Amino acid sequence: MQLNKNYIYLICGAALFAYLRIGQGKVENVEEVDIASGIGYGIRKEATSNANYVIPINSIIYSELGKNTSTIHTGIAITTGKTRANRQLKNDKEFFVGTEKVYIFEDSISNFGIKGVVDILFKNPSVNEDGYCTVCIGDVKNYFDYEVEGYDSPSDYIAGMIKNSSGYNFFGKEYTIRDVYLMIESEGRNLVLPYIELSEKGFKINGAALFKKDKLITFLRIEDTRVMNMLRENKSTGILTIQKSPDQFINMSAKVKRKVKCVKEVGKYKFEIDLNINGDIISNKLYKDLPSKVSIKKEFENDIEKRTKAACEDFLQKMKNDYKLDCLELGRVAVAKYGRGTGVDWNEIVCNSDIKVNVKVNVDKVGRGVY
Amino acid sequence: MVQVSKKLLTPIEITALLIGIMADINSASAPNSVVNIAKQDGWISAALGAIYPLYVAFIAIYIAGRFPKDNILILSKKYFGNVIGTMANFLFFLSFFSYFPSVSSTTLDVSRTYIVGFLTPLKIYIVMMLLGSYSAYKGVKVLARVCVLNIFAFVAIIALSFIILMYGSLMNIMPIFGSGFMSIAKGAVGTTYDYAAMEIIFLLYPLINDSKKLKSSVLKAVAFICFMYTWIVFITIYCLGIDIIPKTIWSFFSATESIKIEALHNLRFLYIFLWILTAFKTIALLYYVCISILHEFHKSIGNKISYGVLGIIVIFITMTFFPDRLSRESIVSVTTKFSVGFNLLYITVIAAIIFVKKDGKGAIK
Repeated sequence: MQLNKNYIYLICGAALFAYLRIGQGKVENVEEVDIASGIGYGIRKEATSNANYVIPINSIIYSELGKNTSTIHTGIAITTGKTRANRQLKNDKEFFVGTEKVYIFEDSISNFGIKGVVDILFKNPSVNEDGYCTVCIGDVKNYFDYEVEGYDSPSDYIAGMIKNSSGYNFFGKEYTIRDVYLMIESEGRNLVLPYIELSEKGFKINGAALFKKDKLITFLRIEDTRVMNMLRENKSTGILTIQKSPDQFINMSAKVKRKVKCVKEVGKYKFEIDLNINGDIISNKLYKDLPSKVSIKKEFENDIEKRTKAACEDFLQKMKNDYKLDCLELGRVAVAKYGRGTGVDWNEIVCNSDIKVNVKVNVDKVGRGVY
Repeated sequence: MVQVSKKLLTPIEITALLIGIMADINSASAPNSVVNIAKQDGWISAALGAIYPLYVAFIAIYIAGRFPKDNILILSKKYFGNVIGTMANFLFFLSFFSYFPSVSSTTLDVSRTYIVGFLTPLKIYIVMMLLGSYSAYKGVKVLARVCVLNIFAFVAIIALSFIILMYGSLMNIMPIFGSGFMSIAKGAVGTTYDYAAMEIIFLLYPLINDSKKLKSSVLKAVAFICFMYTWIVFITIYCLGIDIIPKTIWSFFSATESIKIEALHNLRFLYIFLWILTAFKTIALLYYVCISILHEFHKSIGNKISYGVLGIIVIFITMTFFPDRLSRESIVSVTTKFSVGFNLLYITVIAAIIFVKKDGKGAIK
């Protein structure tokens, strides 16, 4: 009797296991899945009111010989979801997201608004949220076509460029798709992404793309971008320079700490941005005796303070008058102090308010000597 | 005698059971329920919401002090008579049973969204109910040990989430008290579902081996759960900000995604693994509660077949009435009001009768 009971349990267990296994998704080999390393987003408007989303995927082909190459599968359709259907018609492998390293928005879709494509990424929990975002000028397919020596795909290269942009140009570190989700919708914040351009010499970050909500407003050249980044990001790093002639110059590797104060006086906001710059002299052909004389050190600090402050004020004028956009996240500070959900347009308020910049420079190290 | 003391629960096990039934998978979306009303002060609402379990705890301590050996089902029959007492007990059963399908379907949603999207709901429910019924059938002592183990999972969840402090901004929390006291109080009402089912203590207190320590173990459970919810809501607002939280469904999982680690990609997978275990444990506990209340009505309930029947009923109800999130939320908003309202009334009336009649142990006549 005991034996019979055990048999019944065994049969029930086996039947249940079989039932649970039936219809389960088969696990594919890596060669049979389309391993995406980068996704591009574009939109092509036609003469009619219709527009087509163009979403090329840069996927890696794994070869047994050791050298992997990449290919492009493009989906073109009137909605973002339908591009998958269109892409599968031209593809011999299964569509699969989760391994992509970079998301590239064309200027076309950035002008149109990127909310539609951000939404399809946000919904899907298997999307790689640490993938970097950037804006490109022109057809994104050309970017994926460009072959970079020694890399599996150009997407890997572009992702590395965005990741390490924070090195010497005061860029921030918040350019992943996660930060894009957070920045588009948060009150008092605006999205800023680095943009890249392709020439015969390869890819280059040429500045920053400024967004208002999910729409592109303008591109900043790299000189303005450096100043904006200094005013926008906390703990950014970059190079500050004074040059008099080709052989007379001084370079400082600077680390900028940013602090924003906000005061509301009779209905008008006043902002004060404190930049605390701490830096090392990395080359000096201009200020003699800088490491040994305090007065010279002070003189240099004053000079660089003046130059930086002038550049910042110059940029603020441009921001207020030309871009009419709060790209410095000042609205966020005001919101945190004076309450949320008031429904005001922070871009307008920040551009009409008084913004003061204080720069303080401190030379930290001077290297091991003067040559 | 040895056999009896082995079956009884230690104070730490009581604490673990109480935490276990309150902290279900829905706490991953606890920030969503408060942020809509209380905005960036949602975490204060979450802390204020602990008044509800605290009230239940004090009533339980009072009743347990007077009748340490009789649970609430026996007391209600004693004071309301057999007919009304049985009806009240049945409503008490329903108040627990109403959480059962909603917890199951939330677990299903999470597992189908994040882990096993290729499985059909029925298969997941079968596994869920098998795990729940098996551990409930093993008795309250086994469940208590599972809950003690589960506390380690909670401690891990809270400890790891401190890393999120690196990725957010204090500006998301400010201005503190900016949304006004009324909004904070209204937001606290939104947490009742998360704090609910603390009433299980009225079935458990006769089982404690040292009734003097009941007070401390119950209050410890309330303090732990209050801290945990407040922390979850705080860290989620800190990381995501109040504009993004309503756009996500399980916002705490979204917050944990900011922690980048090698090999695992991000911490979400670890969190969901811990949270699914938590959900299975809550289902086992609800299973135990339902069966043990029904056992009072008919002695035959409690055998193997009744566990199977309850599982099939729950799967049927869940698949028929809770097919998706929207229908679940519309039903849950009604049933939670009923459950919480009835339970509070029920325990308050019984405590009041005991107080007026000056019944039980240690009462001054």
